[in-house]
Amino acid sequence: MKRKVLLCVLTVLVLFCSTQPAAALLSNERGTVIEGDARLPIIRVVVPTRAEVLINPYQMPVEIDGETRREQILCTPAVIASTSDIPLKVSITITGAVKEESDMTLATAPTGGAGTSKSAFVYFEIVQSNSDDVISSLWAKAYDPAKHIPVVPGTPQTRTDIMTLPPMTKDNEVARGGYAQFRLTGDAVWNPTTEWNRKDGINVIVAFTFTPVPYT
Amino acid sequence: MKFMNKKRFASSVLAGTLALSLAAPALAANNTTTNIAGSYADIPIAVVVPTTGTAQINPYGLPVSITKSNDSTVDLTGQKITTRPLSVKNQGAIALELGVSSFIVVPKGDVSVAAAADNNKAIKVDLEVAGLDDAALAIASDNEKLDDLLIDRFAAVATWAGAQKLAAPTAAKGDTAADITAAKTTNPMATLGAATVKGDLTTYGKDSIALFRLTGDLAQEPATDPWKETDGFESTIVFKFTPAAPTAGDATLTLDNTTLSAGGSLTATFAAGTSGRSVVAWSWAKAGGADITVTSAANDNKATVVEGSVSTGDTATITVTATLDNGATLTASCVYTK
Repeated sequence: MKRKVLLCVLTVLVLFCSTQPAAALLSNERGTVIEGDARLPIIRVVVPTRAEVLINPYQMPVEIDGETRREQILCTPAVIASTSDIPLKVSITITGAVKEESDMTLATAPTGGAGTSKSAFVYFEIVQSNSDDVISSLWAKAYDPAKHIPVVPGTPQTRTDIMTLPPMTKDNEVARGGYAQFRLTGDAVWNPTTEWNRKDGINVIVAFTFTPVPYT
Repeated sequence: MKFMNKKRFASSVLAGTLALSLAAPALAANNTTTNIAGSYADIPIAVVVPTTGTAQINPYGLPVSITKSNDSTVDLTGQKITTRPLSVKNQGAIALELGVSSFIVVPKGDVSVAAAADNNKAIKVDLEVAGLDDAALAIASDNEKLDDLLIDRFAAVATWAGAQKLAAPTAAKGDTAADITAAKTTNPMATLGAATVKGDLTTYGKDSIALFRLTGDLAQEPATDPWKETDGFESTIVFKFTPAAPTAGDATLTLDNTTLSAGGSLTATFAAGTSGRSVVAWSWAKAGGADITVTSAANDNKATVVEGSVSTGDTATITVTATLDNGATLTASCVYTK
């Protein structure tokens, strides 16, 4: 008898469980459950960790990536690329310092190569592009304070929202305009009283800040 | 007095009841009465409602791509709460009003649900229902184009311009469904037009489908703690369907004369507009005017009015009624003065 009672109780329980959802809705009601999770933006930008800058006051030929160049301030190729899924505003802070052993100075305006003090004017330039190769023709012909950031020793120079990198394509590739090539360039006094030497040089830290731009 | 024991008493009551039950039909027959058994005929609700759906807390309104049957995509963009397309379809032969008898949003992670978003993780969630009225959707329920058409309508901003909204009830972080008092509305959020059902083939009317989604507002960057993948919610919506009174839409009915005297004829004209309706029956009626006679052939949109010889001033209001194919009626009147 106990077994029968137990069986009946179990049967009733099973019936109750299996009919519960239907019982919760009337015959003219239908239910929908919507699961909501968080969709967070993917911020993915390839930024070179290191680049070389050369002070080349006498405009000696220098070979970089198979190309002979003669600028007074030379920089190895540097490109950032965004494969984020959201547009990114780019802000940049430039912090520069003259090497400890050097007696050179950093000018706050182009020198034009003239003067007698051992001085160089170095500025940061960044240009949006469609390629992961540096394209020389995209560089500005001359320093433009509206576009470029001078390297000022000891004083970080910040420009906010200097450009917006588009999100990656639907094929997960870098979109047009999703690259930005950057460099340090400038000029130097051609014939200073104290000659240029191997101890001269600068250290520059370029800090990128990427801010997602919401879709509207 | 010693009363009979309980068992005997119960037995007597049962026997009495049985005797009464058996005797009732015989009594009814002798008294020539008619028993009419009334029972409730449940109205079959033939609706297609998804049992599940997905939504996202999407602080930056990132595009959510919906793929159509031809592999092209439509993006839902700029919505802080983004819901993938959801629809309710009426596959029955009667129009239905769509109401909501329960709507809750159970928060997950650090999320809470509030009447308005704050600068942390209190989110505002609304249920939006947009009834569609689009001739392109008046197609068979198994038409392959239907899903694509609904995706397009779902993604169009204009679709939601007149959508009805129901705000989610507030819920604190960590609340379960049992802690939340569900929101509901007694007003219909949409009216789903009837479908045409012929055998196995169901063809939607242009207004048989409504789209719905969760939408709302939330902080882009919460002040104290950034959004995490564990943040989210689970919403349960219970839709309630009740038969809607049939309507004529923008169909109109006019009489060629709104006033008449010295006899004459009346002709009613039906204009369907964009309603898609048609007239299935005509009827004429007269109020007042004892000496005025209105005659019409059966089920005709024309009538003849004749006045009698009694020379007293008399007026009558003559009304024509058109019954439409969905059961709605339209009327037009003429005042006859003798």
